[in-house]
Amino acid sequence: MPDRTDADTTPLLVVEAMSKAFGRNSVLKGVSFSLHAGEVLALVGENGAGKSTLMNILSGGLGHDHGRMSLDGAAFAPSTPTEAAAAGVAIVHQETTILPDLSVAETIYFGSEPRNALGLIRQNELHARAARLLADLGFAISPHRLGRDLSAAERQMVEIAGAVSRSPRLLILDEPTASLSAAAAASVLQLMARLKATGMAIIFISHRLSEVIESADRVVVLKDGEMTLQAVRGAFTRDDLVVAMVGRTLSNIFPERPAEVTTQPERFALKAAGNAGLPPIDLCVRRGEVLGIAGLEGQGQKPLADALCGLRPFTCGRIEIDGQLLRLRSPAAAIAAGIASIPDDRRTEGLALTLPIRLNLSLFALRQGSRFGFLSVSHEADFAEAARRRYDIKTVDLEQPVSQLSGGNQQKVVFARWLAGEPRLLVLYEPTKGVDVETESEIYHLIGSLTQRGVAVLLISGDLLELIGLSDRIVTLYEGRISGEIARHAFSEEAIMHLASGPAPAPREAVDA
Amino acid sequence: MAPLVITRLRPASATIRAAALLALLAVVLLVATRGGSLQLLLDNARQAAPLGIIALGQALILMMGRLDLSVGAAAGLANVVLASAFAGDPTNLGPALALTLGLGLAVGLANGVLVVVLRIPAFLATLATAMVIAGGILVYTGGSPRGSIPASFRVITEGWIGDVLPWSVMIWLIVSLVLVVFVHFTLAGRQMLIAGANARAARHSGIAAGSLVVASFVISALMATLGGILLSAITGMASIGIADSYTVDSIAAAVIGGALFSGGVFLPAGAACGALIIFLIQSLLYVLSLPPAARFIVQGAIIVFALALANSKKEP
Repeated sequence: MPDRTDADTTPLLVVEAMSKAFGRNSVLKGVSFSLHAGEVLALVGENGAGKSTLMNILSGGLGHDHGRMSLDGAAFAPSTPTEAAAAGVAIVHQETTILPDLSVAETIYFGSEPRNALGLIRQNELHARAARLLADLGFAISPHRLGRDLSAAERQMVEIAGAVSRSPRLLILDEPTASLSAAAAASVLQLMARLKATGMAIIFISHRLSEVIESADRVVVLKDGEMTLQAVRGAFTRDDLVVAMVGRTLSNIFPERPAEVTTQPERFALKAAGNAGLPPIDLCVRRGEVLGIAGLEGQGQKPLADALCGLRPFTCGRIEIDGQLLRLRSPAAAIAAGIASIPDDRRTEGLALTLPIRLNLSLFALRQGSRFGFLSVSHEADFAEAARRRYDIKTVDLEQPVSQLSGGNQQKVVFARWLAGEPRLLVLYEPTKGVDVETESEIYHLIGSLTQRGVAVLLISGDLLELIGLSDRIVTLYEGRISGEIARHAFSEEAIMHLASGPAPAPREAVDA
Repeated sequence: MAPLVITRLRPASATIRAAALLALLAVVLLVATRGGSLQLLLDNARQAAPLGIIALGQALILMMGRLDLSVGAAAGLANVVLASAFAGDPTNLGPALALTLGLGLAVGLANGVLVVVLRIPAFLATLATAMVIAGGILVYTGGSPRGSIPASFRVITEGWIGDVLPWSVMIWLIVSLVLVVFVHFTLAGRQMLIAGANARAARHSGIAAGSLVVASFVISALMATLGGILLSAITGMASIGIADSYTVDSIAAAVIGGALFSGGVFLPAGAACGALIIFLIQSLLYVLSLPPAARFIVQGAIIVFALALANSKKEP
């Protein structure tokens, strides 16, 4: 691989002191980096670090407040995505925008289809052209297939093909591998290598540190809008990335896990429990244990979480809590059984955003203070105030709408509500999504202290660092089934990803015991 | 404890804006009638009571993020049934009220079942109910409703308590108070408020959102029935389509008073101001001898004005 250094050539892209604020909330603070043609830059950082904002500025989706950009030596400040595309910048967003009723070829050339004199699309030429492009890229997808029939990996491939069809000089990929299996992710990485060899510059966002180390010529780490690390291939290690991402070493972020949890009595068990959206599943979690549930996106996490909280109940199998048979028919039944479940999307499933913080906090606590169906105003106020202090919810006025809190503080409100009664089982589904690092650590320690009091925790998460740092044991979900189990001493991102990408031929847990 | 309850009842900014608009209109009306009197304003309030009570129910439905387009029809049904069951004889009081309220309850239950069990969007379900009721009234009366309201019953809208407060306003106040206590100080009301603001989050938290939606439609239909009863007391007789305009007016009153289509807001004082504003506009146009049709233009303008004012405070 040609090792280009800054001295050889002028960089294709230069970003200098880029800043952006939304209101008083500044999301990018003086970020500077440069990128040469034929280079792959990995942009790494936690959720909310400013990665997407930066990519949107580069691709014309957002304006910036301060700073300069240049592309191939010329000043570059696209005000619309069209302008950025004309300058040779193409972006593939994380959420695919595949239309279900268009063919692969129509999707790839959407908006730039070859037309005849009447303005109608030349279907044959369109599909022939797409077939050539797909073959060049090494994708085995027919250009005639409809968007609705494509798998997640194929959608991603088609999106990338659409971006590449415009021959960009700079290609931006926002988490291209996030929802892909290991094999599909590897083929995306191979494609990046081939495109790079043609002289294209690529920026990709990824949470998978191993693929960053493997594919990136240059890495930029953002944390809370600031650039905490910029390094070229070989000059950074995995630990450097982690420290730059989270700002400290892992040992401070996560609570200590006691060693004796494996001897505790069983608290909650599913025995061949399933429903229409979830094949029968077996799992158990002990008192005070954190059971991590890992998996690629869409492998049954949502159906499992919905079944555990009673929204889409299990229809077969047996559910036990503390050895007792549990009928988990509704959210109310789950709550009555002592199951607290924190939803993954607090804005749509957790909070009534327009209502005051107090109302959102006190929902479960109200029953204790109320008499004859009337609530006790003073009991509610005391509870809300106590919760504000205990969970350090940063607000001056509990009567403000909860929407005015930051993501982290909103999540604390959700936790405070659910922890009002002492739960026996806590189901967490992406508990730190869109939460700042500070709060993230507070939430981890809160979970640690709950387990000390015997609460069992099911942690469904796509964040490997979180799973590794917090869990006592990890099982992986693949297509709704458990594909493997790993004991704490054997935790590694590779081991989890290996099991998460398909059924393991030789299960590792057999050795552990 | 008492101060805490009072701070909970602190009026929302939307209510204050509606009250300010109401005060402005009242002053204009007093000036236009050359000095007028408090009596004139209270008489407006007396006549606004049916709308005010119907708007309260509509405000509750709006709190649930839905619309009830059957309130006008339900009030009209109450009018026809009450007059027919009374047949001018005050001794029929018990059965007449029971029948009227019972039918109102049935309308509310029907709306609730259509919306929750059959999952029909509320505005369509209630529109259908309204059509069925209107058709039913025509079939039942053959186009010429019979019966009348005995004079002794008409005291509820025509009588004044010690010449200072109309009975209808008193009834309106009591019903408002009951609903405020229900929504803000009972467990069921609180759950309803949360279900209205975010039904998914409410279900996730074990709230039986569906039953609460049915309950809200029952309350709304009962409010419409009560409004229809008061309206009957004002007119003293049965007429077809007498309350049809109340559907749109009740939505206007609630919205002028700060209700949001997205749900999660219950401002009964605001809705009351909205109902009074609508009646004051009518009086004002009459005093200024403008054509009655101008009422709709002014009412539309006021809704736009109220919403523009409310939105100007929000960040885009």
